[in-house]
Amino acid sequence: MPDATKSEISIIGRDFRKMSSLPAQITGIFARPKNLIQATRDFDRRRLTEQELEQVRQAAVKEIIALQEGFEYVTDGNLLWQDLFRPFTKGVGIVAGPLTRFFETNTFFRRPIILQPLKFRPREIDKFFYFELLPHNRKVILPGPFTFLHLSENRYYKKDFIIAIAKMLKGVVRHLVQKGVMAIQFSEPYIAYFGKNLTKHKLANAKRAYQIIAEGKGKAEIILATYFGDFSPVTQLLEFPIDSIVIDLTSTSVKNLRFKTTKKIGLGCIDATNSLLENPKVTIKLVNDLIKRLKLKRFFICPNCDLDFLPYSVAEKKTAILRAVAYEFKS
Amino acid sequence: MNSNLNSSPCPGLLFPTQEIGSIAKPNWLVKKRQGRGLTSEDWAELNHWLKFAQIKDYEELKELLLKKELNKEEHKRLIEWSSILVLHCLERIGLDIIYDGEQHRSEMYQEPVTYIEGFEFLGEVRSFDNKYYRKAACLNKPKLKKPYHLEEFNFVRANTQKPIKVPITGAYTLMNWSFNEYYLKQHLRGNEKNLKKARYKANQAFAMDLAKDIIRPNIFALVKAGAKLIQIDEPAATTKPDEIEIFVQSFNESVKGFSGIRFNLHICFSNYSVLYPAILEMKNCCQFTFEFANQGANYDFLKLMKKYRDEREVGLGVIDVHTDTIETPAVIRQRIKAATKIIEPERIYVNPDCGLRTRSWSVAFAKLENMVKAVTSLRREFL
Repeated sequence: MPDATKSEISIIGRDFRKMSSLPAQITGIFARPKNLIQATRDFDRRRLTEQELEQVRQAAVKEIIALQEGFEYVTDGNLLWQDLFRPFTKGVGIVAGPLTRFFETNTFFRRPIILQPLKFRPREIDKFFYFELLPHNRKVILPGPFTFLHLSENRYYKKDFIIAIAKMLKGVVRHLVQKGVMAIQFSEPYIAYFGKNLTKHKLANAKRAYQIIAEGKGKAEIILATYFGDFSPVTQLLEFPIDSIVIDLTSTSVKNLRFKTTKKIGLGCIDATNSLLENPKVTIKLVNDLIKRLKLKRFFICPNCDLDFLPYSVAEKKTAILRAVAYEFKS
Repeated sequence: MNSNLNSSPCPGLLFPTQEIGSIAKPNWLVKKRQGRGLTSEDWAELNHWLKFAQIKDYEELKELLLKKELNKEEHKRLIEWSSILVLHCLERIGLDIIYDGEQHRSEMYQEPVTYIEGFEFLGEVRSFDNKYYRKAACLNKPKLKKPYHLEEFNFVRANTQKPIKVPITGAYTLMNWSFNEYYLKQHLRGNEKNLKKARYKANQAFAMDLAKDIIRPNIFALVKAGAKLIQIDEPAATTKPDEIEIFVQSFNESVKGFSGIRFNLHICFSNYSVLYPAILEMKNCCQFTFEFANQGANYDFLKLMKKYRDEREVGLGVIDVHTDTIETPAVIRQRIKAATKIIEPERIYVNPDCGLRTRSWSVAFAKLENMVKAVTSLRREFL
């Protein structure tokens, strides 16, 4: 893995290598600060140039990176992502379709429409991340193949669509590893949301997709993030060729949760769908009880989903709570 | 389930035509409220619509627009002029049931929340792409400051002879589009390990309080002032399929006991298949006014109505509000005729999918004109 440059690790005057010890991660698109929202609005109305917008956005990325200071992995907040799929709808064979509700939120995504064989040039993904601003412990977030499959409108593939998606993502993973990315998260809300109704056959296909993706991962950590649903019906995911799994504890009946694993577990205990701020003491106790009961050896604390569902000021506060909770489990 | 709960506002008329709610605010209004000057194009546009609406006495409006600064009363008067202009345009187009394009309102969430104590706007949250909406949190038990559509209703009623239908954002949507802090705090105690259950109970309590303490008093005020047709807007109704029952309970609580009033339910851009069987329990609702054109005139919902023997009326969305393409009368006729193959023509009202506020007046009114043309020719055919 290439070493990070000096400028990369000393961003905003801090050496992240010394601080990467808090078991905490961001698990989705971060909320945009007020001035960035206004800047995008002004840009759309041609009141700002692209360069001016870019300045505001880069300042926001730096701010979001600073909020994650000391976290195990750091993301750029996916501030260039309009939704979970957008970069890929700019590839060959795939276009951005109609606005579609993203599960039970009031946020909408453009449904990917597949018209031809998927051909996404891996280096295209670079346009959607700020690698130059990220420290060495960088993490990126991508759509999971299973969710991609089910939220797309496939007008081309008669079979093996998920395999085609997995192959496309494998190329991207391989490229990202070369860019020094240490952790790659695949967001899979569909799996938990429809967990109870998923057949063994469907999950077997999903597993096969992750086997393909894993071929490109090198030493990077692959994280599968489930959210918007109970994890209990899909504990088979623990057998997937991945390194870590995020569980949405706000949608899971915690007292009924049972499994054994040596995998690293992301405990999604910060609710990114409600502005009510968690009481750190209560959350620490919840996490502590769970760690003991499930005998978890490796874990990290995280929001249950994208902080993009909150206003920025609330997302900031939730990230501070995440830090406070994670600090208790530092050792 | 019988559709003839309450008498029709257009007796004997087949396929009554209606608007759903919002129409864009005209440039001259937006600019003047922002303290900006009007361009020659803005004046030309205003003159065009004044002529179309056949309004001859508009000196007051022009004087207001020529003034350098407007006081609060004059701003209000400008909004009233916009309202009058929309009403006259809709009358000229020939719609059977009208309102004023919600010219008095900011939009359907922010406007009502402004009149409710216990809410606080926290900031903007993404709707899609670069589009954001202001989202409030409920921090205390909601309390109505004053009925917020009454003044507007009285104004509209005084300025048209046509039947009018008041749109009002429903309790479930107000709940769903807000952060529920107050009730969640109460229901979380002892339920920390089952947040899902706590969240359901909290949302139920929140929606029911909104229905009882916010929506009912608003409806009461409107009914007392003479409202006969009230549209409950619930675009969030199907957002959480597990909460459809909460939506139904809050609707019933909002409208119970108001006899002789025609309530219709408007939902759009949603998966309607999750509504049944729960909506069979909806009381005092005589019409489902839904978006269909955007979904390619897919009438699966009408088939579901038939399957469940639900004989309520349908407000058939035949105009896509998210495209500038103006549907021809032939296309609209075809959409209506396709619906008549599933349910009786007598149960069909005709409308756009949703409010037309994202379209310019020229596009919006051209779409509505074609809708009326289509219906006029169909009426001859079905006689």
